[in-house]
Amino acid sequence: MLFYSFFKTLVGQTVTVELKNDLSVVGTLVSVDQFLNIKLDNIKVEHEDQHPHMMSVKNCFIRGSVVRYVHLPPAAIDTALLQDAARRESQQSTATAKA
Amino acid sequence: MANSFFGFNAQLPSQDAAKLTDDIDLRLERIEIGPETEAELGQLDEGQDDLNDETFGADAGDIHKDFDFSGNTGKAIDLIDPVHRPNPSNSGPSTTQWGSVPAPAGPPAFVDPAIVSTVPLARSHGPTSPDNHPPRATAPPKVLSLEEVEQSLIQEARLSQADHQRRMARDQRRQAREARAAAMFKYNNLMTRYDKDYVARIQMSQLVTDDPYADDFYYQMYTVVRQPAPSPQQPPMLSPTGHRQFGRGGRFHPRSDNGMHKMQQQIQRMVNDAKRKPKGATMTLEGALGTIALHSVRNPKQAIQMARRSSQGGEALSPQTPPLPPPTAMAPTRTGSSKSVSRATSVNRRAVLMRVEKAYATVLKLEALVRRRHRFPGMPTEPLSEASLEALATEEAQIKQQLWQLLQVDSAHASPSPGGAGGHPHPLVEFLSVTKGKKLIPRIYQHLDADQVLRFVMTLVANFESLDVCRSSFEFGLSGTISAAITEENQLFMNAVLPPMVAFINDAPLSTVNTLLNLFIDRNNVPWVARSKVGLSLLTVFISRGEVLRLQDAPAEELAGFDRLYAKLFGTLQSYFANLFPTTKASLSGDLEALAKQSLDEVYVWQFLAAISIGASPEQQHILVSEVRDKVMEQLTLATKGGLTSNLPSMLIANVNLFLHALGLDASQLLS
Repeated sequence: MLFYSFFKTLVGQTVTVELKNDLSVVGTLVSVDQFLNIKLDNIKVEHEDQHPHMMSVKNCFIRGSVVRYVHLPPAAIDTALLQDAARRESQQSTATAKA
Repeated sequence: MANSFFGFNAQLPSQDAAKLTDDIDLRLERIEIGPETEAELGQLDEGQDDLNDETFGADAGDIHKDFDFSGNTGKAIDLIDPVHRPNPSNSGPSTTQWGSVPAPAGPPAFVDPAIVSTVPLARSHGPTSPDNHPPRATAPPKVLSLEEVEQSLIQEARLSQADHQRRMARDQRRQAREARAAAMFKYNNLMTRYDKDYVARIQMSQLVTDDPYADDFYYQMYTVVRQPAPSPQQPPMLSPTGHRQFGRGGRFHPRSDNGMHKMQQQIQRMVNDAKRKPKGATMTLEGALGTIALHSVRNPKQAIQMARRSSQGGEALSPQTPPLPPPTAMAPTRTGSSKSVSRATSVNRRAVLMRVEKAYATVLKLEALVRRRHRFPGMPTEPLSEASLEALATEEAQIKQQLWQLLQVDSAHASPSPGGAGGHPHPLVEFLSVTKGKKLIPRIYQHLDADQVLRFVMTLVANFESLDVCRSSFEFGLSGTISAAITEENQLFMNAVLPPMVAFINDAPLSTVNTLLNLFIDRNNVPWVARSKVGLSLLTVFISRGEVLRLQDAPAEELAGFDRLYAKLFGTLQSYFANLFPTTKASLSGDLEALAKQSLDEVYVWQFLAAISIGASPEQQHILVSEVRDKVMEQLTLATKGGLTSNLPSMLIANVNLFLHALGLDASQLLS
């Protein structure tokens, strides 16, 4: 749930989603769900000349499993908090594993 | 007389036999004259004028007859063959009979044979009938000019066209929608309302949690931290599930709140049910052909099976929890004298890391507890009873105690040898030797009581020279630069560990300052420690605090004690003052710009010199000036030599002035 929790805080930020088919989509994150499916708005594709068919697309829904990377805006991330969250997550998982 | 199935009289009238053939003939004629009727293509079909009002906003009769070219064409048609006129209702008599009112006609495309049969009668005086003559001319009340009419017609035509298109599109959409609905109709009511609710609940149960701070920690804390101070009356719009309530607009209906509450109760029931079920990854039902997975998002299917280390092998390597009695200088032998020293240190480092990690876990637990006590938004809202508050308080105290023990401040451990080389440093120093250990200090610090803070600072001061940040300041050595990693550690120490110490010292009475300073001078190699940024900064804090307290009428004997310590310190540092400035690569190269920038980082040395010269006797001041005179002149020439950009010169001079002003001098005096 950490990644889901994390991406929820990025809603409204501009992110670049790099897909496994080498398409890079820049857009405003609208929503994300537990499968890390991503909805983007006001999108723009990098290297538009290679993907002219994407020029008219304004928003999109990306299935989580086809995402390779998401480039994040550094200013919107609280790394200390992220470390804490990761620690809690690992604590929880060890706790459930023991139980 | 056979009635038809529908009860109609299906029998044709007897005389109709001839009529029927007539009709057929007529129709045939109509088809035959097809080519002839091409002549009337230009004719407006006046039978469809019913909608003119809507389309043109004007009645057909309103149109001035000046432009009725089709009327004339119609006349011509009449002349050609009245019988073959396709639209009998538009015939002459009807128009004359009704004057200017256009004949109310049915759809001309479909001509009822019965009507057609009457046509010849009606047509009898058709050819001579004055089709569209004078009566019409009186109809329009106002005669418009040609241009006006033309323009209004064009405009209306445009408008009506757009309007028409819109209506078409709307109709198409509606039709598509209806078609879809019709296609879906067969699936209606396949699921009952209960089924739908059940599915919805299962879906939601994946996301809803009864403790958002456990499962949605990052999001919860992020919104709390990043949201600009929410006022207590208006808590942030967070539902207890960690989701913003239905849309981010801040619409917060009591109804949806109620719904959320209901759902949470349902979730709670489901969670309880799940708990009652036997544990296990799968569940087998009687007669089922397969197994049913019980995994969820938070408890996914285990894909990788890690072989558990056998108990005996695991114990040896697994982090031995550092025992509370401190690892002494003999520590390496404890893991077995046969093992090499490097092995011992790596094991030790691992132990330190584990200890820091444990401290993190403890701090997180503590912070969670504090949040519960202070009612962070999203926490369970039921009021805490007196008893549970007390339980929380005791738990908090326990955790704080654990945390304190993890720091191992109290372990009676003496620095084995000056310089810290060889042997084990103090556990607290070990704790601070890792980056994340340094980072944690401010968060631990706020949970310590006054006595613990004192012990913490004392331990740190006594073991200052074994800190990695003190030793690292010499590691630039021959290369002339400090590695980025070390600089970062230094910076981190200055930002995380030093401020709480400084805050403590700046509140301490002179007796405490004396104790600490004495400890510092006694236990550390002062000229050595003073060459590090952190060491010198700490000394600056000691001295300035002493000077401040001197102005605040501290007890005389304590002041005397401070003066003795001051003299001791000065004596130790004498002949080292010029060496306090770090030697760097830039000073060896000829790059003035880089040198100047480097010099700006030396402000802490100037601050120390200023602090120490305030309490200096004239002789001591003389010693100070003679030792650092070269450095002062070097800085001033660097500043005045020119070639430096922007405000670098003024900043350099300001640095030097820190020291000179303390002596009652100014850089301008030296420059002139």
